[in-house]
Amino acid sequence: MPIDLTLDEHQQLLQRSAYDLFRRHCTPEAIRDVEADGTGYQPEVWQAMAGLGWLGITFPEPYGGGGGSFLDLYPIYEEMGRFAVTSPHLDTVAVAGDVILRAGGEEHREVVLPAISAGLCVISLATLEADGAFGPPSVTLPAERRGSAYVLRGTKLLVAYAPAADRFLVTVRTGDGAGGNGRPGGAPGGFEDGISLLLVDAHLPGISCTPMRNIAGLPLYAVTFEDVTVPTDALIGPPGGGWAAFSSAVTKAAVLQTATIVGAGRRVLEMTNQYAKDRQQFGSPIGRYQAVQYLVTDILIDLHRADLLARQAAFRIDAGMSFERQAAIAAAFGKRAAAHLHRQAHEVHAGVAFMVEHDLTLYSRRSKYWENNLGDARYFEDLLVGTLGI
Amino acid sequence: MDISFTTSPRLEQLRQEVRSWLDAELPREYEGFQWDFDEDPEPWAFYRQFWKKLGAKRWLEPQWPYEFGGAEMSPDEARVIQEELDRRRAGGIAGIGMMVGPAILRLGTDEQKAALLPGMAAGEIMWAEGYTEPDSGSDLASLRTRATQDGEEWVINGQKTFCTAGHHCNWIIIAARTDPDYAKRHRGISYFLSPMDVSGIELRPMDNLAGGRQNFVFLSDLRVPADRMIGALNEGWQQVWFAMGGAPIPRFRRDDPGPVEVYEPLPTGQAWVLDQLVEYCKRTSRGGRPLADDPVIRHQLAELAIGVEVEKMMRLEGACEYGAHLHQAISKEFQPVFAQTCMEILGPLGQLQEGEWAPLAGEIDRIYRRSFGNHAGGTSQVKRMVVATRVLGLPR
Repeated sequence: MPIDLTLDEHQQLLQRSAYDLFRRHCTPEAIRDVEADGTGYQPEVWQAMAGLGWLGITFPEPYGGGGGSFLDLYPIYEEMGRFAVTSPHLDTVAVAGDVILRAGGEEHREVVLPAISAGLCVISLATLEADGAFGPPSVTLPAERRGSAYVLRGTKLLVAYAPAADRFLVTVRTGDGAGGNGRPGGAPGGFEDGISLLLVDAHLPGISCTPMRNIAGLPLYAVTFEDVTVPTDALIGPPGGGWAAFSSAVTKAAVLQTATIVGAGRRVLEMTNQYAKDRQQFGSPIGRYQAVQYLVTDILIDLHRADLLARQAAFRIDAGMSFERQAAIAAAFGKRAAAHLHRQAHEVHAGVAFMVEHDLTLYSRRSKYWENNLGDARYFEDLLVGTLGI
Repeated sequence: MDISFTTSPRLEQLRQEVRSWLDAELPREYEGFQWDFDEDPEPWAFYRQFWKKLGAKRWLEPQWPYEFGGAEMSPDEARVIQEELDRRRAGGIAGIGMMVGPAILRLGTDEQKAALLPGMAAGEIMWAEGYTEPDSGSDLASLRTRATQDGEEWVINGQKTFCTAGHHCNWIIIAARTDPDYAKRHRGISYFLSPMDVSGIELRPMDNLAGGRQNFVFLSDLRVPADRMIGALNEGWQQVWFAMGGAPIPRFRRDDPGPVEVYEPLPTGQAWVLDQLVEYCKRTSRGGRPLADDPVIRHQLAELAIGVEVEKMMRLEGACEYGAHLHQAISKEFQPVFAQTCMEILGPLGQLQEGEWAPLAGEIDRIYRRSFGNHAGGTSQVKRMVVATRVLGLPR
């Protein structure tokens, strides 16, 4: 099989459809309305994506999916970035769907995957805790085994779209595995050992959601589990051995987050380039000044590199090659690039984009979520260095 | 974005052939030589022979036609050869033949091709650069060297500078003004090909920071036969300069598709350095802690690995939709960052150039000094300006 990072005909068609869908529904005005009303995403767009087959695009056909490739998701995420679309797609399809497909029992796959695909099931990831870090050492929430149930007690943070969620995918400590309770010192097998994954019904008694106001304007919640009783059949993957599947899904999803950043970067470049041509100071368009040209070309350079790295990772995922290193590179670079390119765009726009009504602020605020979601640059750099053999 | 990297049994067979040949012909102690940064006569003597041997295998210019000493290979085959040479850090042939060759192939007369290409492909002709002048660097079109016609000859007078390794080369390509009207700038420049061992060319050395020798070149009544002009009179800028500036080599044979499979693209020379640094960090402790556990060091290693990956991907991408200038801007800006980050990882001992206390046998010192030569072929600022104006359409 040749390595070919060019989008094929089908993927180009996907890109075109995504562009059309989001351009129609996700205008800056609509995006702002959604931000203001608290739901944080557009259910009608979610349903439209279900109708187009994009919620199960990578699931096998027997589970109501499209049997597509990982690279099929790439243009969709790029276009979501271009229009600053907020959507539970990443949590639900890219992470939870992948975890269920690869680690879940047949009963989970048969029930949950078709529901996701049909637009009937939103899943939110509940993993981050009080120390604010992504990664195994930070997972401490206990799920105590009592008979045929687990009892959960604790709080997960930055849970996106929590009120709209039908289920939460929760990382917990079940007391299994050498990592035990996850406290430092008690983990001869590493912090990963002992983490279990539970697919929890979001409407169980004892679950409460508190909104967390944030720069991105996204519906992020603190989700508290107060002695929530969860049946043991909510377990996805082996008890105490859930991190591998979770980490693999997250690392792949982080590549898609970089695709979002690339798509957003394209729009930010358009805006910034146009502004540099239109804005006149000292009797000339500011884009004639090389100080400004450096800032504008920085954006192109950032997004070109991010695109190359992310497409390479996506290709390797589809080809069944090892992808951890390349995906970590794509994620780490994408996250740093997101911060950098938005900073440069603001430098060029100066005062005009300091005003909240300027569309650049939609992207620069949202960027902070992309930079931190599913692990920040530091997390992925560490993952990357691990693949160098140290 | 058009990137594909494939391999086939035929390509892998070629790879094995090149690899075995290099195992036999290239002793370890000659790895890492760079003609533009080295004046040690011993590796120079070795490489002069090595390039001729490569030429005899038709691997010096593998894509050229047979009649000119090439093997009419596909770009993929040529890439495999280059990857294997890089893997052994074998220095490429001295001079700017990689720029002059495509210009002759595109614009040369039959006589010029027959006279020069076989010698280049055989490793016998090495080209010196004769266009940069003391007052004409990035703004090359302002050059002042003059060529005036005298019967069947051109007479050239002027001064060139920064001629890298010119004293090792035997031919030179000279840009000169053939229309006396300076206001015409680009529209009055022609290019000439001349051997170096003639009267009228005098070199005066200037040593560079990285250990190489560059030269002032004084041209005094240098006489060049009229048929040694390349490209049309006064059209040299449009024709030759752009043919030299990274236009792809014309294809002489179509790829044989054959059965293909994915292969791991081989990394660039910087990846070799990164590997050495990773090993250094594994075996070195500071303050009782292995460097590999230091979060700052880990961050720096990650930055290097990301940059190296970008370089690898750009090489595979070849000419991207934004043109070579985007890649060149990225690479040129990355070189000093790469070198400085390596230096920071090594710390104070990174200053050392040789001896038992020099980490990586002083390699990072060499890389650091060479990184200031990243202007060769155009400064990063010029590349940025080209990207800004030609790619993004910002006003000039």
